[in-house]
Amino acid sequence: MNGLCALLAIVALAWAAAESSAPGVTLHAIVAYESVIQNADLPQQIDAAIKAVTP
Amino acid sequence: MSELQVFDARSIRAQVPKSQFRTLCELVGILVHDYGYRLVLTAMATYALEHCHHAVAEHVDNCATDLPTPTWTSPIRAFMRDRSGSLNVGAFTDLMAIGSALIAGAICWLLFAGWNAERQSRRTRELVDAANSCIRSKRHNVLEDRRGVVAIEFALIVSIVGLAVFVGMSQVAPGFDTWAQHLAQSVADGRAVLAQLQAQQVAP
Repeated sequence: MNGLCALLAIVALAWAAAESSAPGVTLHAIVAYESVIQNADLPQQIDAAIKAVTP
Repeated sequence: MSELQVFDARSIRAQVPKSQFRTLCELVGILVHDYGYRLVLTAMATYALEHCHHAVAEHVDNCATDLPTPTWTSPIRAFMRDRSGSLNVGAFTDLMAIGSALIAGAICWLLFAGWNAERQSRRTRELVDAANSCIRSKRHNVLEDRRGVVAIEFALIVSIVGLAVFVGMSQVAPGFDTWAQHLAQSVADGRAVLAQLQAQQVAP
């Protein structure tokens, strides 16, 4: 229980430090994560489109 | 008992002279109790014999005269008679006094043995209780000290780690934010490029 509280405290300190140093870093990280997940096959689609366009 | 329940190692050592003094007092008490009790019993027996020795002597004399054959009481009757054959009341009184003294001594010895056993048992219980109290107290103190040390160590570790994480995250967060924005921008650029390629495919 003490270890869990200590871990939560360290995470809170890390989040506070990140937000104070780079405001919006949490939102930007979430957006980037969602974009990567939703467009996981984007490189293959681009490669296929290039091959299709290239004569 | 109350003194022994609250003590530490120094108080244990402080109890030693008191124990010796207590032992001395108990020894004096034993002597007074033992010999006083014996003297009282001897005086009572002697007083009783002084008042009834004539009747007892006459009874013994009558028994002696009524028993023509020697029995196991012959040495006693011989002891109680002087050389002239008359009854020796003084010897009989001394014999009864010695017997009563022996009985009184045996009773006193039994009383003393029981009292001494009770005293030693009480003393043992006191020492055991004192030792248990000392052990519990020291163990409790050790546990409390150990808990306090562990709590301080834990707080120090959490503080140091938290400070390190805070400083590290404050240094890394801008770069992480830039990387996250760059990653999202790369995805958007890829979607735009794909749209352009798909448009070229549709419109040859």
